[in-house]
Amino acid sequence: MRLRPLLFLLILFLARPLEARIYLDVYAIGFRRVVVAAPPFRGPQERFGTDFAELLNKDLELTGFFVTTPFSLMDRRMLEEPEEKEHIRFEDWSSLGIELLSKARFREEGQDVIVEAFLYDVTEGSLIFAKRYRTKKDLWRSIVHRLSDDIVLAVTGERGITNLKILFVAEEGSSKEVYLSDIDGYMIKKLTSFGSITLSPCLSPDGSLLAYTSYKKGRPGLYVMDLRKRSDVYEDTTEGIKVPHLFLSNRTLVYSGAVGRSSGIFTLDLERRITTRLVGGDGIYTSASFTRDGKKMVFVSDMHGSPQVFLKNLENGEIRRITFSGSYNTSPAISPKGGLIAFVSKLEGNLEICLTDEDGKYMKVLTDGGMNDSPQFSPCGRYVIYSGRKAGASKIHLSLANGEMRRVLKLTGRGESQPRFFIGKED
Amino acid sequence: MRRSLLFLFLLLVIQVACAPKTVKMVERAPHPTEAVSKEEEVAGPEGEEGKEGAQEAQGIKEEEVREEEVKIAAKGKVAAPETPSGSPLKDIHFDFDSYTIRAEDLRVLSEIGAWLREKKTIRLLIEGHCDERGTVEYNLILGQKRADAVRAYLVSLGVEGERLRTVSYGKERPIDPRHTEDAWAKNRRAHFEIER
Repeated sequence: MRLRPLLFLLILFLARPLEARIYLDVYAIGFRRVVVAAPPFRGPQERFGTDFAELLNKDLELTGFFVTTPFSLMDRRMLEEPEEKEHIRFEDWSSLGIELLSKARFREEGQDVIVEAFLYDVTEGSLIFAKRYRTKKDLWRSIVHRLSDDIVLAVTGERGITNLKILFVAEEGSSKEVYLSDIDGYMIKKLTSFGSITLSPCLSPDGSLLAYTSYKKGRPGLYVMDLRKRSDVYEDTTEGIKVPHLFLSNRTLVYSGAVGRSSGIFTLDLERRITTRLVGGDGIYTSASFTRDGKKMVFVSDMHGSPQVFLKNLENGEIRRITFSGSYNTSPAISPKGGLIAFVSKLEGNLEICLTDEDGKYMKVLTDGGMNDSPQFSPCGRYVIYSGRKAGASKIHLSLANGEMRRVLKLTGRGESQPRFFIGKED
Repeated sequence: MRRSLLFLFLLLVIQVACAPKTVKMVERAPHPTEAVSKEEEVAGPEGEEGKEGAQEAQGIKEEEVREEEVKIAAKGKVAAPETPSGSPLKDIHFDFDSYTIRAEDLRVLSEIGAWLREKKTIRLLIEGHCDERGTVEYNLILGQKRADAVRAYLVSLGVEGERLRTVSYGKERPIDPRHTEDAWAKNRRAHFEIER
């Protein structure tokens, strides 16, 4: 187990191996959501215990996998029973239709807060896990996010998304700046303050480098900023446009660029300052996205006339066209696990987020009108995040990859675009 | 040379004439002074142009227009970014998702090309813009392609490539912020700025 400086996660005991049972197959089409109850945490201050539980319920709802239970449905005895299995009256919970019960208590030790959480299968009357979490009091939200992710892991076999951060661009007057936020809109950090147009941000896996395109010096440049030093460590303001897409590692950036007849998608080794072209020509090549193993890349190109999505197998160099219907299919993203590809398609004058597979056979439209852009998959591949606008300001939306549970994330409220998930370090 | 001295003298007169107004404006907005000093800079190359001759009549006309411009600037309005009068510079437009120059714009570009061949000291910035109905990244590249297409055409007309710089603004700088066909058509453009 990994020990983090501030957040200690202690597994007291595991009722059974996590892999043994998947309660919810979230890849199934039209899966049924699990009814969960997460009553207020018991502890020295009642108010704090309610805050904990309210956030946990919000987190669980955000996942799209659960139906939560209002506190008002729980009677005094249910709220006051201790967390250990022998005290739980499962028939009471079961009578409310509850399938999963998260019981927790908290206490304070100096500057720290400690949470002990127990997750029960109500139907079987069995313990799924019991865990202890500890962190600084003012970081209590991270404990809840962690617990929520652990519940998702126990139920679906994969960790949830509530501990992820969202990197995005937001308008500020006529400027656009880069922000990083918790997925629930808390802890919003402004990463750039150039008073200019700054676009297409992406973070290195360790979170130390931010690549972006900015007009801060007049002509657009590709920059890489060291966020610890708050200074650029790479700058390319030569003529033409360059747009960063992702970091393959902490030193390798993928970007697309065009000037004159030379256009393409490149890798840039930031240490050796070497650029390698992955694909290119005299047309448009941009919006590169990779599977986690780095073996497959999707991108958009107008090499056949109109913008279409292509998949390049980087092992054998083969390039395959994925989209064939319509004349405007752009901004692709491939699931980190491969399989699914999200992209933007112009349909009846709208820009819709669509899903397809690597053969381009499966096709699903996720959105219903408006101007949608920049889809990206979550690291687990179960969610798609994108920007969308019907009227008013563009907002960041989150959806399950099957198109269910679409909702707007509450972030800055000012014209938001180009969202990306970031697996935040716990700090 | 004598002609260019006369030219500078005339400009000086214009400035002196406008000076009091300008000073008065400075307290409220610094822009008018800036506009006036820009006029000074433009005077340099324009003075040299005089050497080529056959420009006298046009030269005088230009000064008149400049005086007008300076007055407008002194009134606190935004002066047009010093496009010399008689310049054929105007936006050209593109079809949706296209960076092919339209037939009707070839004539505009021919005029611009001829003008640039004549005015050897002028350097142009070609801005490529897109409408909002496309994705951010694709439009950034598309804007560059539009600017590059215009640049390539001007080079094919004999304009030195070093005098033409390109920049893409993608869909970030619409000239018309409305969400209508009309606005989109206006926003899909290549725009020219004279560089100093």
